[in-house]
Amino acid sequence: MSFQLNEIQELIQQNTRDFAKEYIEPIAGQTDKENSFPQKVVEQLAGNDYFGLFLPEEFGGSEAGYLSFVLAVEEMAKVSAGVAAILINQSALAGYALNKWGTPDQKKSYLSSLITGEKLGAFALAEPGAAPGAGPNKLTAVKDGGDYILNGRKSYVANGGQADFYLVFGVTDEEDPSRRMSSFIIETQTPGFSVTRTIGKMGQRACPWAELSFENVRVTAGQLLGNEGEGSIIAQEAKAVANVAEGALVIGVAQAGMEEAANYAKQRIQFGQPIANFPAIRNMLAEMSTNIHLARLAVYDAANMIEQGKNIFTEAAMIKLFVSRIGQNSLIDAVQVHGGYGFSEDMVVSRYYRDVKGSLLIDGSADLPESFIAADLLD
Amino acid sequence: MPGILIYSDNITLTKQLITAGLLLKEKMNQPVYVILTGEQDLTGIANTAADEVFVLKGSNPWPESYADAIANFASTEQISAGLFGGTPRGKDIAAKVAAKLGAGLVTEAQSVEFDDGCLLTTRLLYGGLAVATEEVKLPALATIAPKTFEEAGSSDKQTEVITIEAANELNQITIGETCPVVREGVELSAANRIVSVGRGVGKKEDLSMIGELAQAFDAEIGCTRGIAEDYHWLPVERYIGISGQKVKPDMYFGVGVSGQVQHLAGMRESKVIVAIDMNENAPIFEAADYGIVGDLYEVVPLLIEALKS
Amino acid sequence: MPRILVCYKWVLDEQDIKIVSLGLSLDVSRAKYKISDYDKNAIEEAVRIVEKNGGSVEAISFGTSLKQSFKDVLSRGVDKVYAIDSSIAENADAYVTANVLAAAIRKIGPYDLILCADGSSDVYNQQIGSRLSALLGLPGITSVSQINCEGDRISATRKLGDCTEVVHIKGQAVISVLPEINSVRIPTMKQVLAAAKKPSEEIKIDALGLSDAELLPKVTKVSVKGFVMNRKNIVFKDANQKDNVSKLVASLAKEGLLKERG
Repeated sequence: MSFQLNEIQELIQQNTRDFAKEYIEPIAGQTDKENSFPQKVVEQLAGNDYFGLFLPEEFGGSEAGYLSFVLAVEEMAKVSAGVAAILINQSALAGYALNKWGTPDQKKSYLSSLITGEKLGAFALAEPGAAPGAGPNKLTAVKDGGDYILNGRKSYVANGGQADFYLVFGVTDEEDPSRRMSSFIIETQTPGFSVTRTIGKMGQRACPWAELSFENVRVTAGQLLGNEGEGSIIAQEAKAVANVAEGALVIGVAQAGMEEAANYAKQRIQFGQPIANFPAIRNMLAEMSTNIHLARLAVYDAANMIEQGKNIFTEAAMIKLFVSRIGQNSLIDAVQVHGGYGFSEDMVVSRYYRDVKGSLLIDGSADLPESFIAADLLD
Repeated sequence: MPGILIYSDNITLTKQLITAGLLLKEKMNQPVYVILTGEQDLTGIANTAADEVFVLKGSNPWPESYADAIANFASTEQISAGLFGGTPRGKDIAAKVAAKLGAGLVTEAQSVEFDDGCLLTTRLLYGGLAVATEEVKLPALATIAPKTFEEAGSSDKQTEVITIEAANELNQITIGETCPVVREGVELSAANRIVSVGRGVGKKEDLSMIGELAQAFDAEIGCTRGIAEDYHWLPVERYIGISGQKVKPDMYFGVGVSGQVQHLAGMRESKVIVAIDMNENAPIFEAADYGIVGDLYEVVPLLIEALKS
Repeated sequence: MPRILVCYKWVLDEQDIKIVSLGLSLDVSRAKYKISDYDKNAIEEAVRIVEKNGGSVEAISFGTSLKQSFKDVLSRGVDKVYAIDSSIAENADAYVTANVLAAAIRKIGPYDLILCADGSSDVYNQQIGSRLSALLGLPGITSVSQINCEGDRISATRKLGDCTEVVHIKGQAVISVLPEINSVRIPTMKQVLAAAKKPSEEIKIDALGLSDAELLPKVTKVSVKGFVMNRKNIVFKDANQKDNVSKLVASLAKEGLLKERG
């Protein structure tokens, strides 16, 4: 077995590289500086078929497989981690969940328009007071006849404020811990729904975070995604699948950071020679390169498993643990290679550093995956 | 009788090619034949040192329609070498003649010599990254860019001009309107000084600042391919590069030009090259005599001020 | 509805070619192949013509390792690709290349329109379109910046340095286009995937009926050497830009490059 990409995968990689250079690169710095949402790029992502890359042809997707999707995310992240994050939230979270648990009607109206880019989707799981993406949920969804009434708040919702619909996780059964939550598709124009604020971010700023409020939001049972009580399963699986794509995001940023550092090291003269000649610099770059290569293999392997329909919970946790760590370490070193200049905003590595930092924090603290991996091994 | 053929649709270039032809003649010991077509102006041609001057006359004024007639002339006379002016028309005609003769053709030869029964030429490859020396079997053709050779001076002899009737009607082709390209300012390739804009310049509005700099130098404005073809900030006639204008002014001044090899190939014969760019590692600095590393928005206004005082 | 053929070249990416400082030879070991940049404009133009007028776009190349190029070419809107893959291409000049392509076109043609780029991004010979037109006995128009097709009539606008010229052609033609004719669209993911299902056909060079002489280049390379820049490389990089500017102005004054007063 080998991860030699096939011709189509190579072409997807190449064309995405061109796409990122042409459409994303010109706005990457600006969206970061201004905290602005790259609406035009989102339209171009849709136009070039990125949102449906691994999703079914029946709903407008391309069925190119999850590895192809991951390759696209990696290439985009080399230029803008924020844009890659928009894509992950749209396709790997909202898109994946709708495709796996949606009814034919739900897929027709939401999955199709998500793939065409007509609608932007988001995944609303975390709540204020808890770490982003984790913690106990308090938002309630109480059955009222055939309807559900939602009350509560969600926070740290990526694509938040820009999305046209949200997959919202609410408590439908206080008694049974395993069947406590259910998932609902909530459109933004539903009465009682509001975006209360957007949350400034340290990195990945093209992909906004928002806080949402639900006050007696009434939806029909037709808006329930999956069965009642299936919320936790949906959340866990979709997030594991998205973790793999996020691993690719981290690798993309780390690779870009490493290349910046290597270029800088070759050009920067100190003590009469390029700093690339110094063992300390060479060691840092060698370690970065090794780590990135090994991490990439882990991500591609997991993506391949997703294509084959295998359970990847443990692999996703390993990616979370390892890839985010090496991503961060690589960028610490990449900034270090730049010396004092690395701290200035003139150097793109400082943005990469902030972009990659989020990957450890988002979705709970870093020891969460460790406990999962250990449990898989010991219990 | 075997000889060296000279043709260009541009008569100034024809005179430059005569110089190249006469240099070849020294080694080849063959006469230099100059070909003119249609109503081309004979002035200053017949009194060069060229051996014979032929005018091909047909009913169709379109220069390209003479390709067949030139090829016929070349094969009847069994010419050994043909030098064509490297204009768009000249390159087309040369390639058509080469195909009809089954001959080799070197495009934009920078030098042409006769050596060991072949033509030895040099030209650029890979967007200017490399120089190739090539050997061409006779009959050998080459196109030569303007200004590669000096114009031939006049000699005291007056060559007889022979007119040959040419059948150059084309049934499938008619020429519609011809419009001069409207240029804002003089022709770039003739400019003595050029200030050139690259992608380091952030907005179209900032071109006014560059204009001011150009004015302070009494220079024309040129640009990279990206500025003309991707951003459309300046007309395509102003882009410098292997596929655009090739310039050799006294001073080339790049502002925010990173210096890709394709651009460099269009300007690296300039007498003095100056560059301002943010990126210390930009390849333009390797190609430059003088440079400033810095934010052009800081440097250019200071420079304008300094030049004015 | 025109049947269009585009000629493309599969070339080394010049960005990856390094000059070895010793002896100035070229190191191409890290260079990957790509569709010659300007050929992408020719393909794009063919596809745009067909989007407007109907018809079909096929592509042809003479070279080596051509199989790698098929999906890239097909993802750009081309319906079918032909390849003459032969080691003869390695040393071929424009004479040989045009002979091979013309023979192949006689076999698979006729086409209403044959499109080429004005030159390739590696050797930029700018000959193939003109040579093909001469060999095939078709009108050949170069330096074209705009094409309009109507029925069996084609209007091509040429850019000739100091003027533009509109050429009207009745019937088939070989047209060489300038890169400015369009901007190339990046293939969508669906186009990339669809490329896997499109046909390609290999044409054996032996089947073209060409003589040995027709396959023997007239132009052969004696040497290829990296171009060396020989410049002063005086770069001012003080933190104080005022100092840098005055040093630069002083240098330019010494070179006699400041504007004459008066």
